[in-house]
Amino acid sequence: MGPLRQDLRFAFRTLMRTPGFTAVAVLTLSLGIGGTTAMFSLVDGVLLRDLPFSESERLVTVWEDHRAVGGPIDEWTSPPTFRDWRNAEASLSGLAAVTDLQPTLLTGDRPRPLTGAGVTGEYFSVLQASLALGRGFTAEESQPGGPPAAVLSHRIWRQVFGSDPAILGRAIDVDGAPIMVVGIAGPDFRGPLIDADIWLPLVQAVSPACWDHRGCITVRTLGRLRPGASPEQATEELAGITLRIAENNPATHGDVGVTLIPLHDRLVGGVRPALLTLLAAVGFVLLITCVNLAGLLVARAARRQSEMAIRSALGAPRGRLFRQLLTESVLLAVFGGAGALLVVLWGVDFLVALLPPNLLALNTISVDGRLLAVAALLTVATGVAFGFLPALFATGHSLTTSRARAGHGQSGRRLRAVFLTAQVAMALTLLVGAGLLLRSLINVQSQDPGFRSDGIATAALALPAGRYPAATDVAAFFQRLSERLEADGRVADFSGVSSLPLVQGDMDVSFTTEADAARPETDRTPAVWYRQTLPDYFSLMGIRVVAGRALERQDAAGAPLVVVVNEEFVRRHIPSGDAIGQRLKFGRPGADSPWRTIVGVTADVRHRGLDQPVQAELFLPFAQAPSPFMFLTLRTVSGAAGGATVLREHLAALDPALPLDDVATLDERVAVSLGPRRVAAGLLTGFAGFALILTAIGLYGVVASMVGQRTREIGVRMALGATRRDVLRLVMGQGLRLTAAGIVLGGIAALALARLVTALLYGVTPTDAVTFLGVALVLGGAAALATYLPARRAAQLQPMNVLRAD
Amino acid sequence: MTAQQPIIQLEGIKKVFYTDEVETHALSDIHLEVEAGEYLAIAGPSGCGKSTLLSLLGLLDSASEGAYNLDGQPVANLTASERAQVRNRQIGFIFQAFNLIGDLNVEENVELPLTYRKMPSAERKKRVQEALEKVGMAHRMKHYPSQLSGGQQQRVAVARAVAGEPAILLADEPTGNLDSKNGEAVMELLRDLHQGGATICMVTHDPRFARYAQRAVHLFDGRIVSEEEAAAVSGEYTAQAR
Repeated sequence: MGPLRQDLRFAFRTLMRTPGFTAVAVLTLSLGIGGTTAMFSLVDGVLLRDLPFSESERLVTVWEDHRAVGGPIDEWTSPPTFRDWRNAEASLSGLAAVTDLQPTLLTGDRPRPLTGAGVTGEYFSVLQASLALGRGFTAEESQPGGPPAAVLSHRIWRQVFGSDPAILGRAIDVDGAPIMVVGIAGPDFRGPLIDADIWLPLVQAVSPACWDHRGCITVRTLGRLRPGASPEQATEELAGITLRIAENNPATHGDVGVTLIPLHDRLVGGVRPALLTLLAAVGFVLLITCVNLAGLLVARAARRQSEMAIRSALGAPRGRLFRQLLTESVLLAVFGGAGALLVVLWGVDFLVALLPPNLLALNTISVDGRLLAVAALLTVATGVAFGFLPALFATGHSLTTSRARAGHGQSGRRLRAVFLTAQVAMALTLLVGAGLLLRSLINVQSQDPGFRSDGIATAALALPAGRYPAATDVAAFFQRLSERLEADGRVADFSGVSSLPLVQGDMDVSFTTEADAARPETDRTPAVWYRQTLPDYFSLMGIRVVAGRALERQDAAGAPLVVVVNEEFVRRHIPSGDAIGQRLKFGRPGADSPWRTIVGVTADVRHRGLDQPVQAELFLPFAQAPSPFMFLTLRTVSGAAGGATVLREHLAALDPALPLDDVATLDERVAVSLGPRRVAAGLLTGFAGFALILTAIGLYGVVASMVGQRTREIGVRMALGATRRDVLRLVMGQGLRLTAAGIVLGGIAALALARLVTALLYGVTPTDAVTFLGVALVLGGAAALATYLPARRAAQLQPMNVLRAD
Repeated sequence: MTAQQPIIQLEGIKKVFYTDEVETHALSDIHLEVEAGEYLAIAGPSGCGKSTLLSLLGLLDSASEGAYNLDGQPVANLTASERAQVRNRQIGFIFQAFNLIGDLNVEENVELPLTYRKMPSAERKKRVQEALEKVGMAHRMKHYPSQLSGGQQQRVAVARAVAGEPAILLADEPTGNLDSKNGEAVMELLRDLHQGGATICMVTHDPRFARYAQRAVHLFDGRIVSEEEAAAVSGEYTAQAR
């Protein structure tokens, strides 16, 4: 312990003697270790740790596979198909169905919009979730006609009902109807797929017609594998059931398959590439920090030749000297690790806030003992990583002769050159990654969304079926609301739509065009996304009508039924290209539904996201197809400002029990839709920028140190006739040659690694020449600046002063 | 320029250094002329200003006052770049510490001033070869300075100084870092160069080596206090030459 204490004491004194170097090193280490640890905490919590459910690795989701009919591999399913799948009892111990709800809880006079989930009775048992109070849903409650019941989240129970246990067995007002509370979820329970405030039996959430209709694609499923059963076995069993469904329903399910996805993969699959990319990026930053510090330590070692020679002469064995130097590095890393804790504390909260809130596993992301252990391990490893080679170098020569010292100086410069080249290569790789993501972001942002987003306030409004049971009630309410808003002098424009662009919750419907009416019933019926719109929706949103007309007030309930379609619809479903005047009806060719005439064609709108392909769509006049759930869109005379206040005032006058939900301007929704890309591009750019700064510092250090060591040589060269330009060229040339080598090596590495971020790119290839060239220029420019400063100092040397000092 | 015009002409040169408000008069009222082909020794004790004088002669520094004409041209108003060019083409330096560049081999060291002259490669190689043969170091072309003895390094430094065929050779204590045997050898080399027509100004504080010159000026406290004419040293010089 004695020698170690001595080493530590001496290391501490050595570091304190060079406060500038120590401060810069500790700062960069803090950022490097802290950033890596914070990023690791996210990857650990989201990707590596189990979900917070008992034996969560056995939880799976089951989906209809619609790839054969041009749909997704993970399409939702219908209640009847779910009930068939539930029979896969050999491999599944339970299967539950889940659907989204937007119920309104009324307590006193205060309406409170909730996130709700309609679930089947198996839901809590599949998740093996213990309730804090009460029970889940009984078989009776899960059947059509069963008594209404609800399970509340622990959060709502605490916030709304003050954790009153007497709420159990009492009725609460949900959407204007009394529903009995039968259970309270556990305090840590958060539902997968839907993080709900309230759970209702699925049968209460689905219409009776939908309950038995295989085309009513409204539910997602969540199952638990039996112990010992594999996902492949379950898939095989479910495929057999799905095949029988197809055989019995060839018209609607002839080409439909089944897909099983583990719940964990389903929840985190979307963020996996971004998280792993960012972890790799921050790891690169730490590596660059290590290489940078190693270079600085080699320079220090060169300045400490005499000290090492004296210690050696006094009998210190090489091992002891090596240990002394390594102790200094590790002590430096420990200081950096202490600073890293601050970065971790702040960074974890920052990163968690950036992630999509539905990532259930976020529950487990916090600064705990495990994370601190990782930080400690990383700290020691970092100290050894950047200290090992310099210590080996510093103790690797006999330094007792000037000739040996000269050779030592040369090998030190070579070692630093290697470090610097590696640093440039890694920085270039990071910059290429950031460049590709930034170009993707720019490409997405420059997409024409098909609508204008500025100055429009939006909010969701759901009319509860209890108080607005009939379509005429719904239509009448929105008619009154429209009249009030149009009479309000503060309102410039008002409209509404059942599903806003960039908001999840699209609805699709199968349809038959007049031209297809004669096709056999067994043929596949195409489907289309549809939206109900209030008058003036297209003009308010700036959606161009490219043929025919927009939906207007004249398209009232009793008027001829009309629709407007988009250009993509015409491309896919109207072979002649002339849609105006053509007719279509919902359902299969034989369906008894009315024909609707296409009266207009709009330009395409990127409803699903600016980076998502355009879908075929149609728009229905609200008066001819009222929807109880609408997004209100409003522009006041001063734009989006005050829009929500105006809406609330009029709603309060019409029905005080109706809450506005999901209030946001359309600009904010666009920003949110770009959020994940912005976060990934922003973080990676931040990491790359940090790497660039470290590299520039490293380059500056190498060149400045070179100038310091070669001052006499530069003086001699000037005495022999070198001009200042010659000296600039000499000094900058050395730094820029190393940079060029690093750029070439980094370019090769980036070509290999860029393919890993393909999933995050949009409109740009992983080998995009513009990005590679641009990044090389940025790095070259930074290198030129970093080398110019010491080179200029060298060029201003007075040869006489240098030679006289000699 | 005419043949009669001195190659170096100093008129009333004064050099003052300022350090922390302290004025140090390194040189005062220096009048000196050096003819083409002359071998001049600048002698004096340490700190007398002889190296400062050599720096002024070599355009490594500028005078505080006075006029300096090199080859008939005033140098006072030359820019840094023009001074570098003059150093490169008209002056060859030989330093006490040899000042060879450790990362360059012998050939590259000798070639260095020629590269600043933008001379074609073939011409450079030829001149390097000739210069190294002149000092007897052609067989060590690919050696690095650290592989040579002090005497050998100074011979390479002399080759570097003469490779560009400068008008003047400035030697600052060229034997100062050498033992007496190697010192004598370098002085022989300079004498040979002078006999070949070179103009040499050599700083030394060693009277033995001052005698190799045709003329010696003695500095004390920044002033020329005496001059020994050629006759005073030529006897021994002639004797040695024989």
